[in-house]
Amino acid sequence: MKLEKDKILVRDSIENDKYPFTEWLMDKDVLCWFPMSNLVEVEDAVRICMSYIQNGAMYTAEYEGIPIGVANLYINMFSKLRHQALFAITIRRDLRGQGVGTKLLGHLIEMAKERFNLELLHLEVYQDNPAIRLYERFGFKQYGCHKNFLREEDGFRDKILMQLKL
Amino acid sequence: MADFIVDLPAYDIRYTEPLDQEALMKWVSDERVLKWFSMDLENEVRLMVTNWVAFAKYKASLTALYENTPVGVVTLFLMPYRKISHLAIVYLAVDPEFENRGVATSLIKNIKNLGKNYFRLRSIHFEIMIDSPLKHILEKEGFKEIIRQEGFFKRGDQLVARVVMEADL
Repeated sequence: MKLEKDKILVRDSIENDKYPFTEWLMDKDVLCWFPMSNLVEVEDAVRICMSYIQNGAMYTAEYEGIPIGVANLYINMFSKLRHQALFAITIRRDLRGQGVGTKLLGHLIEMAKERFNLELLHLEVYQDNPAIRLYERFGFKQYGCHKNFLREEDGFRDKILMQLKL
Repeated sequence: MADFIVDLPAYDIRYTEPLDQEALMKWVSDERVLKWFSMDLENEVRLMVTNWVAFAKYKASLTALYENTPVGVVTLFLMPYRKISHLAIVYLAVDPEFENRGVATSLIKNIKNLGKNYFRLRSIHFEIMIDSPLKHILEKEGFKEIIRQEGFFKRGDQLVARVVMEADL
């Protein structure tokens, strides 16, 4: 499916978005970029992400009314951590590279500043993930690397850590 | 009371028990200890300590005793997903009345053994504030700084870097 960029809209997520979200993550070409490896683990991760709906920190990209990607800020409740947040983005595999990530990340940054008054946004991504280019385009800089963080059947993969001062 | 207690017969280490939560709550609520943790308010401390002691049921937590009273707790926060189950983050707290008496070092040595021999972990790591007194102890016990993130913590108006210290097992 070819997307027209100006028809990609981002809204606050709703509970029912967990169904397409789970389905996208269970795609092996998506799941390989996450620490989860089966449905039980994916459902656990989805449940945690969806819990951020209640404080307005989870967003869904849609195209002609159909969800095509999600993103959430892991807003911290601890006061020493409340000025910053980790975030995660997931996009339907067959719609990658068509501006969905750009739209979601732009929205996340806007919400981080305006809704949550954050000073720092950061992310964790696994080595060789093509999304690193998207983050660099938005000005994220690598500040660390956790070697051998992810254990795959064929060996280990490093975790890259990036951040952006807002 | 002796300065260095860990070689005395009255010092012992056992698996953490649910009732140790009360002692842990008391130590980390003390301003001298609390300043090195991410929690601050009472409800934050309570939530953190509850999650912390929950790992006792997996036998992933050790309590140091002196004269049968808890003086320190160290815990492996085991990872919930298989692909990262070869590593764990560690939390440690010592009764502020027993600081600088070898308790932290003793607990770190023991949790490394537990992680390696019982949980078959490949590495463990601490996430600490850059100015934490634990940093020096960890370095002596073979941990290396692998990540430094500026501005991660905010203590009052002061931004403080997060440092990840890791040891291979």
